Parts: sequence; structure tokens; C-alpha cells
Amino acid sequence: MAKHAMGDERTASALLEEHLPRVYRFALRMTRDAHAAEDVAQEALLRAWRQRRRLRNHASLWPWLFQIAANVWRDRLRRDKRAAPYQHGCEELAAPTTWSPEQAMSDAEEARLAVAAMDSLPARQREVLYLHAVEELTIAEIAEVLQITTDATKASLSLARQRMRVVLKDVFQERFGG
Amino acid sequence: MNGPSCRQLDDYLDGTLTDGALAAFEAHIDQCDECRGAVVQHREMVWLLRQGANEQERPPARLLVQTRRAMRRHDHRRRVRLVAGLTTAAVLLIGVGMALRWQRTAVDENNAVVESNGHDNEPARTTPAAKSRVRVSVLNPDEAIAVPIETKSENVTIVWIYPTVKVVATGAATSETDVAE
Repeated sequence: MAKHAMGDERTASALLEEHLPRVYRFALRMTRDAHAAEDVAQEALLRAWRQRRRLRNHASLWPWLFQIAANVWRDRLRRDKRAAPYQHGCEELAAPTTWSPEQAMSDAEEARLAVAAMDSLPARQREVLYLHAVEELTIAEIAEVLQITTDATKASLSLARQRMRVVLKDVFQERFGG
Repeated sequence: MNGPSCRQLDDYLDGTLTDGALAAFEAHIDQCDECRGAVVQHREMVWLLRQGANEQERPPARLLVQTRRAMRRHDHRRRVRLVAGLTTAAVLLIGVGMALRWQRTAVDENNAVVESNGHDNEPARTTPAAKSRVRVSVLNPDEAIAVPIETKSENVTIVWIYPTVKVVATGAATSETDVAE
């Protein structure tokens, strides 16, 4: 995006097609609501487009974009009291509602279950897990995106893994036979 | 999972082990069923999450259209603001330039008036010097001063002669002035 700061409209469109889905998915992790995720993704990309000249290092594009999305979501939470509170604690893990142990699951269903399990994690844990597992960001980059320390990032990631292991125990048993 | 190497499992999964520690931990995995199982489960979980997120959570097509439209609107507004800003700056510059020029002219005119009023015996500095192709000389400069005055016609030159000799008390003027050419 920064590389094409003065780029034509076609370039902008091509970049948008590449960036929007990933920003949208990250927004989904934060908001857990499709409509809110759309708003956040659109606002984040628009902010990024406005500030594109500030991005000096093209390699840090993704952390930068995710950070903008996280900021948009935080701003929105601050503005809108009716939105779900942004959780930082270690709430008890709720089991994903779509999961049924008796169900013989295809890969797609297992994938859906895994995502549902991730979405049931406390906010910080699911954001950290998503950015690390799906977006392949490093611990330092995640800390930058979420504006927390690397130690807090590692702690949240460790807790998220433990909880995912518990929730997906049956899936793993089925896949690996125990 | 209680050995010293097992405690590095999270660092290994985080990707924060140094090269040396990474090699040592990978050697440990071969020996430790629990760590190996945890690593395999983690990789499986990551694979499932990527599958689930990337393939099942696509943004609606209208979001792309809306965002593109919003970007275009933003760029258009920015261009309009830029043109408006440049136009305003140009108008201001022209205005300031004209004001300065006007002020300077007014000051010059003022100075000319002041100078011509302040020194009655001297010509104003702004008065153009007389130009003439006629050369005037006085035989005896002690007796007269000849000043050629330019006229509108090139062929006509008026010469003022100012006698400098004193009038003799007995009556008739004794000034003698010769004008050549």
C-alpha cells in the first residue's frame, strides 16, 4: 500500500482485494460480529489509505494494518457503550455451541469447530492466538499490534493454547486416535 | 512434561528459541512423547484455524465495493481541498503583491511631493533633466548662466539666459551675453 502511495486506482483496487479479507477476518476475531467486523475493516482500510505515506517499512505492512484495525475497534468500544466490553481477563472458557462430540466431522467441520473454539476464548487470548496461528505474526509484532508487552503476549498465547487443547481434545482424539 | 527441556515447549511453539536452543529442543522432541504430541496437536490446531478462517470467513462482496468507493471519495475530497488551497494561496499572493506595489507607488509619489515642497529653490528629484541637442555656451561665464529647456518639438529649444552681472547705479544695464548656436 505504501509502495503504491501515488498509485493509480487499479493498483489500489488490487491491493484492497488482497488486504480486505485479512483485515476483515481479524476484525471478526475482535468483534465476533459480522456487521461490526465489516465496519471495522472498512474504517481500518480507509485510515490506512489516508495514512499510507507514514508507512516507511513495507515489511511491517501487516502488523501496521492490524494495529490500525485494533485501534479502530478500541475507539469504537470507547465511543459506543452498547458494544460488548473488550475483555482482558481470563474468563472461564465457554464451550463452542456448534460442537457435538458424537458428530463425525469432516475437515471443514473440524475447521469450523476450531474457529468457534478460538472465538470462545477471552478477547486478548483469541486475538493473540489468531495473529500468531493464522496471520503468522511474531510475538514482537503481536505485542506491537495489541500494544501490550511481549511477556503479556506470550502469557496470553500459552493460555490460549492450553484452552484450545482442552476444547479440541475430542477432535484431536478422533484425528489421532487418542 | 516436567523436564527442563519440556519447559521450553511454549518458546518453541512461539518461535522465540535461538538457533542453538531450537536444535536442542528438536532433539528433545524425538525423545519426549508428551512434547511431541503437544507439537503435533498444535500444528493440527493451526492448520484447522487457517482452514476455518481463510476459507470459511470471506468478507461480503459489497464490503469491497463500499470500501473502494469510500477510498475514491476520500481521494476526490483530498484533490478538491488541494486545488482549493492552491487557488487560495495564489489569490493571496497576487493580492499581497498588488498591495505592496500600490503601497510603494504611493510612497514614491508622497516623497516626490515632499521633496518638491520642502526645497523650493531646488528642482524636485523626480523632475527629468532637460535634454537638448543644442549646446549653449557663454563667453564669460561670470556674467551669465544659459540653461537650455527642452520643448515638445525636436527642432525648437528655448534657452533661458540668467544675467549675473550687477546693475550699475547710473542706469543702463551693462550685461553682455553672447549666445552661440
